[in-house]
Formats: sequence, structure tokens, C-alpha cells
Amino acid sequence: MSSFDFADLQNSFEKEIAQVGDVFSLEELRVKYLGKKSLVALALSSLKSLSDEERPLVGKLANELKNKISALIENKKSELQDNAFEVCQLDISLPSIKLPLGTEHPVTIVMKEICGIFVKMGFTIMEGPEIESEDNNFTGLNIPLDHPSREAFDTFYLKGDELEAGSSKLKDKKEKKRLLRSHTSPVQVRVMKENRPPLAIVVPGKVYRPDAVDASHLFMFNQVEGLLVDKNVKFSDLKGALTHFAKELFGSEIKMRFRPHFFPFTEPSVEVDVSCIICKGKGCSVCGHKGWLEILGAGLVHPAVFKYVGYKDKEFTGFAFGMGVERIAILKYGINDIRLFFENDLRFLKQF
Amino acid sequence: MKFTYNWLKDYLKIRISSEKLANELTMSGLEIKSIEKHGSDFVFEAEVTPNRPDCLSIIGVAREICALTGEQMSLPKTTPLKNKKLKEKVNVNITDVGACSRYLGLIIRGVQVAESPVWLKERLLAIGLRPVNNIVDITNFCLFELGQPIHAFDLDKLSGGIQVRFAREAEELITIDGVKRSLNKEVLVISDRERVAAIAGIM
Repeated sequence: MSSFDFADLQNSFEKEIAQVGDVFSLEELRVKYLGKKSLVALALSSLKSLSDEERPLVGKLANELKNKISALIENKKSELQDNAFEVCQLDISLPSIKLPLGTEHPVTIVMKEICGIFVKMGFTIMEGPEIESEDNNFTGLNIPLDHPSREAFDTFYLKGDELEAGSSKLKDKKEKKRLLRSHTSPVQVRVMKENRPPLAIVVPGKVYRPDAVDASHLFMFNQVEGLLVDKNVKFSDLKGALTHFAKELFGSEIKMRFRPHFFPFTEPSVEVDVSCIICKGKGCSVCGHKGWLEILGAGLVHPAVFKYVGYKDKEFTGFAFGMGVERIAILKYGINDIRLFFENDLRFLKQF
Repeated sequence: MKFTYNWLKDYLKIRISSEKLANELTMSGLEIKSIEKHGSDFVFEAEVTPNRPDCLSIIGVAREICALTGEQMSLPKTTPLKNKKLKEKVNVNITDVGACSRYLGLIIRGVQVAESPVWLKERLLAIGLRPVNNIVDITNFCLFELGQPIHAFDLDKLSGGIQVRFAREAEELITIDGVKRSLNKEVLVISDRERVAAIAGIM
């Protein structure tokens, strides 16, 4: 008698084909039962070793099984193809799955926008190091050690490898000390030392001040600085450049005002306000009911700064300005807490 | 730096409202950060920039307003001290004229330490100061009115006159705010023969 239980084979095949859900599994099954090394193939090849009486019997059963399996496979195949065809009955005009996209950080967006406005006016973007010398951060900008305005510029000094916050008054008075720059103005000094006018640069970058962190202050934030030096640069040139800038950034309907102020590295100095973009000047909580929002500090470059960088007295005049990027972003987007910029919360960042 | 609308009126006529005044001052460079109503008065808080120390006194601000509005200024009335009252001199010694170019002292006798009158206390409270007694209050009033720091010492507690000198390394002082401080050679102090009385020009 044959050692092949054909009924058993058929049963196990029927069980397995019921589990098949796709054409790949079906093909695997076909190979298993009907392929060169399959059980059915083995049965057929063993026919020649059988006796003359057994041969027709076993042969018949083997062929029957083979045909049955083939038929079932064909059935299943067309069944699967029909289903596949049904599944394809999709509305391809529907929108696709939304893929996750990275976006620019709001500070980056605003910084690019600010720099872009000045680049279009002919300014060049320059950058400088965040670790600066006391010379470039203070002395070169007409801020000597004992000057009262130093009090306003408490700084992060580097002590060996550690950072140390505090005023420099009672410390080692060597002016070559290194610190984390408290404003982007040192880059003005760097650029002027290496280049002769005419110069028109805009300097974005991070700055550091030991402020207590709250809804409107951070110890690390971003500024954009600007400097233009040439012969016969006038205050009206400064007003024109800044007026154009503010209108490009906030819209042409805004009003501006320039208030006298003080910076050790500019004379005269001003603070620049725009009419509040929320209440349009009527007064609201955003502008502290003043109707004006302060956006910039600016002025004509102080002669002492020109002297420090080696320009001849009265050879050139220039203007400089600086602004806080986070502050502009807060005004532009209506954000109520500056800390959101550095908390890396995707729920916030995804909105830009 | 705080000052009040009514206090300013002691030195000039103000014909504009407190808001208009605040705006005028802001646009001239003395930024008024806030105006608060204080009874029948208005308290202004100004941000005085380092280049305008002249505005660190009420008279200074009054002078600025006169320049802006064209009004006439009237300074506080004073009478010169008669010579015979100055017979008794304070011994003042300045060790470093570069650090302190001038130090003036005067002996006033017959002083009774008492509570200040109400008008004086109210003026000080309005600008954020705490009234202590008539002597301290007068010195504070003068500081804010005129911009001239003055200090009152108890003559009985001073031994041998006033010395303006640099402190010794680790010399100690309990300042008027009650804090014990350790000084060093870079701190200019007012002292008598025995101990430090104050940090010069600070407290």
C-alpha cells in the first residue's frame, strides 16, 4: 500500500487554503503542495517504484488530488483578485494622508524677515562669536569699567571654565576678560576694525543677560543689530531706514515716533515706537495703555567708537540700531509668554 | 525715580494735565513709565537715563518742565546762615581728594528727634519712601528735592570729627538698612576716629 494518505493531505490543504488572504501566501501554498519538492510531486515520482497492480490506483488518487488542489488554488486566486479589485474602488480625488512636515521656529522666521528687509536695502548679514572679550563688548563701545551705565549691563563673565553672573565693579579689572556677549553690538566693533567704510551690515545672533526668567525676560535671547557707516550719514537717514523697516514689518498704516534716549555708543540716541498693532493706538493691555510699542534702540555712532576702531576723527559718520527678535515675534504673533520660544513644545512650534 | 504732580507745582506753574505732562516729558527724553493717582495727587515714575543725572531730583525735573513749557521756575526760599552760628566747626578730613573732592559738615544744636509733620510724611510716602523720624525724613526730603545727598550724624556718638577715607580690608559696617557688610580697600567710607559710619554717598 502507498505510504501517502491522500485524504489526510487533502484535509490539511483545505485547512491551509482557508487561511490564505493574499496572492503571495497562495503562491507559497501552491509551491508547498504542487511544487517540485512537494508531497504530491513525491507521490507521483514514487509511482515507478510501485507494483503493477498498485500503480494505477495510487496514480489515479495522486492525479485526483493534484487536480483538486489546482482547482481550489485557481478559485482562491480569482476570489482574491476580485477582492483586490473591490478594494481599489477608492476615490482618488480625496486628499492624501497628511505627512508630518518640519517647520521653521518662529524666532527663525522673524529673524529672517527682519534681515531680509535690510538685505533688500543693501545691507550685508554678518555674524560674530557669542563668547566675546570685555574690550569688544564694553570698552570699544564707549562703556568703560567705572561708567554708571555699566550697572545696567550686568553680564555673564567666564571664570576659567565656569560661567559667573555679576557686575564687574568689584572684580578683577582686566579688560581682556571673556564673557557671554550681552548684546550684538560687539560685532560692529569687529567689522569696523577689519573693514573701511562704506559699510552696511545687519547682525543677527544670540545674546546673554543674567535676568530673572519671567513672562517677558530670558537670560538668553536673540537680537538683530544694524550698522551703516559712510561719509555724511545723517540722522534723517536713520529715521528713513527705520521707518521703511517698520512699515515693511508691521504694515504701511502704522505710525512711528522717535524718543530721545541714551546709549553709551550712540549720540544722539533714540528709542523707536510703533503705534500699537493691536489697538491701533487707542490703548490696550499689550501696549500698557500707552498706544505705542517700543521696538528698537538706535542712534548715530558715537565718535569714541570710531576712535577705538581706528577711523580718523570726523572722517565718517554712521548710524546703528538694535532690536530684540523675541519681542518682535511676540508683537507680531500675539504670544503672551517669552518662555514658550525655548520650551521646545511641539504644540506651540507646529503653529508656525 | 518718582515725583508727584503737586510737588512739582511748588516750583512752577503747570497748566497742563498729568497725562499731557507725562507725554511732554517722555517725548523730551525723560520716559514716564507710569502715572498713579494718589489721593488728590498723581505720582509719576520716570526712567532717568545715565546721561541725565540732573533729573534725579524734583527740582531737576521742574527745571526740565520749565524748559519745555517756557514757565518761570521758583526755587525754594532759603535764608543764609549768620556767621555767629558757624563758630563751632566740624573737623572734616578727606584722605583722597581724587575720590572725594568736597565734603561739607555743619553742627546743629538743640535738635529734638521726633515724628515728622504730616505734610512731610505724605510727600515721602508718595514717592515710595518710608518716614522714620524728623531728622532722617528731612535728609531724605532734601535728597529728593534738591538732588544733594546729606546725612545726619548724632554728634554725641561721633568721636573726633569726620574722616573721608577708603575702608580697610574686611572692615565691617552695619548699614542703615540693618545689614552687616564686610568692606574692602575699594570702598569709600565716612568714619570717625573709631568706626565706619556710612558708605560714602550710598548709605
